[in-house]
Amino acid sequence: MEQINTGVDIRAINEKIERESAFIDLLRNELNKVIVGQKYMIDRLLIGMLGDGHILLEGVPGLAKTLAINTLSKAVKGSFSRVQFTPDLLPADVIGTMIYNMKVNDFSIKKGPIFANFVLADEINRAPAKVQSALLEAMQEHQVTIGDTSFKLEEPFLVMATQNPIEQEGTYTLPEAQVDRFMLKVVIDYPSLQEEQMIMRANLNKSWEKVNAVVSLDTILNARKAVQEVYMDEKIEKYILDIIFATRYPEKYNLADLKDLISFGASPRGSINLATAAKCYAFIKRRGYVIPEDVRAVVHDVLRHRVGVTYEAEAENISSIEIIDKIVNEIEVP
Amino acid sequence: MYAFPKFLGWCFYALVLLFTIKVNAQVTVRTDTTKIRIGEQIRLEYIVDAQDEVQFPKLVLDSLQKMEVVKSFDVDTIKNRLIKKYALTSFDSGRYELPQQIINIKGKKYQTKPIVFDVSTVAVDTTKQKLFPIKAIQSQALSIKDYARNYWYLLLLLPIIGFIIWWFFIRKKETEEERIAKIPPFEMAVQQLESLDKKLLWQNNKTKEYYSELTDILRTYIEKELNVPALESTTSELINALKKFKNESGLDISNKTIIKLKDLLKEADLVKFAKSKPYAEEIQMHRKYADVILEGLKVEEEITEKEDVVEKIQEETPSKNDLENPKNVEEDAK
Repeated sequence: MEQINTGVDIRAINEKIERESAFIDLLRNELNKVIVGQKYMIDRLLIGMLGDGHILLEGVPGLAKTLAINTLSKAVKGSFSRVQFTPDLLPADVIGTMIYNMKVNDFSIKKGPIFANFVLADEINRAPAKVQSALLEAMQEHQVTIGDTSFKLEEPFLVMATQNPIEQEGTYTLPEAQVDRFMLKVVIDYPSLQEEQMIMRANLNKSWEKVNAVVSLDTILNARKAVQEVYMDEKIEKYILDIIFATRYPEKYNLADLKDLISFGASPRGSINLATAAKCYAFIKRRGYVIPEDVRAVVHDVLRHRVGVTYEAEAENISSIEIIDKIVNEIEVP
Repeated sequence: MYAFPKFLGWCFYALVLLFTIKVNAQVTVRTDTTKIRIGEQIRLEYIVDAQDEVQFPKLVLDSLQKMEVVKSFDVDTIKNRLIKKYALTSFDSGRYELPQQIINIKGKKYQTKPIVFDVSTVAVDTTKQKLFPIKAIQSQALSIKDYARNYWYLLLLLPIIGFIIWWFFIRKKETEEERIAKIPPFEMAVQQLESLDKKLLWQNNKTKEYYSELTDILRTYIEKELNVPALESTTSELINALKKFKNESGLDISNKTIIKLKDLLKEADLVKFAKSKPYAEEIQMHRKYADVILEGLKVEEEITEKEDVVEKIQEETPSKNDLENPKNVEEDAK
């Protein structure tokens, strides 16, 4: 088999991706030292990290969310911080503030926990909107302003925010515009019986291995550049756009029954993130090109929080996931 | 000269008209006139002052049978009295006697008095009458009965006319798509493959189009022949669905066929999404694979058995399956 030369050298891209993605297995092995199972979550973490996106994680407490991001930060030799969001939290508690310094008789800047490569925003929906906004603005701009000074956040910068799906009392639900800034919304489930047995044994024996830094931050930044080079054919682009447009105009895709169930479809950010996430997925599968499987693998996580359901849908217990399922099962794969 | 006797005659008949003849205390006969012209009607009434056990006999007409009963009315019941009415006429001039009638009342027979009727002709003086041309024969409007009697055989034509109208005007003419849909999937796929060969796509450096069409033909064939969702499935989803279908339906689908399909689809993915260009020998080999796949997946008369399995497979939508078990997608994509 030979490669056709049409401006894009797929073979070269493939070789580059093979080379650049070599650290993925290494990273996985390191993460697997302390995290049992949760392969799904780890893959999404990697996608977020490689795609320069952020992740909203939904799952009950105790599913190794904190451990995962903490371990990831250790494995890539990055800094990690955790912010527990509470109703009395202030924006300054997240991004930092100016503190009066008696010695120099002036204000000095105290940076907040957001100045880290990996930030865990625990229970983000427990803090009021102003704190959420401060965090989300930093996520979007990769920059924080304290006083008169703007600070660039160190790259890679990955925020993993969590939400507890079972408690809604006393929470401040993230508005759609804010949720849209998360590249992925991942819903994680309990580990399997075998996995939980391993977790239980390892905890009882205190037999966790030490996590070593196996990847440098530069490697991650290089990998990000490589991800951008992953080849995406026009047919895949069309496939992605068909999915996105089907969330907006389902009747045009033979899905008229969904029209009353969708209150709003995915934004352009949805198509951008779906394409990026598909490229990242191809990258972690060590491929230099995107195939429809890559799109299908990430479509739920990218669109879950971007497709709004109507009251009618809620009344019938139809979630955005079911709507996405119907869409991807209707649209022909290229 | 005749005026006086004529006057007397009129008086006599007027008296008869007004005179009520009492047969006895219980039966009375009454008539509105005893002198009529040909065709005029006489109203004759038999009045009985009783209501129980009264039997009116059939009216006995004159011995010459010149009088005619135009209508025999139902017995009219008023307070303590029954009235039987007749309308009589005659079309021959002369004097006719209506004989005594016998009415049974509570087993007793009562006789009425006979009545004499004079029926006169109309005097016509042709000398004073203006002459008119002979009128043409007047046609009478035909009734439905006339039509039914004359044209009943046309009813036999109605179904034929109805069929012609249905055939030419009402019947939905078969579209090209419907005609194609009637062709068995196998024959259709064979025809399409032959048509694809004639296009000489890969020979003209249009390998991507060639593989796109080739896989479309196979996917459509699988969808129609096995009812397995193929057009909306990715390569790995389709292979998994086929394996499941094979296990659950018990159809004789060989593993070789599935492996050949998988090879072909994977190669097609590379061509379509990674700008790969296989050698001519490889393309020809894949073309042969297509024939083998068509034969290998051909179902004879086992449709009923497979329908249950198909439903099961369709229920478990691939994307949902992949969401729950991302391993499927990931491993196959690998």
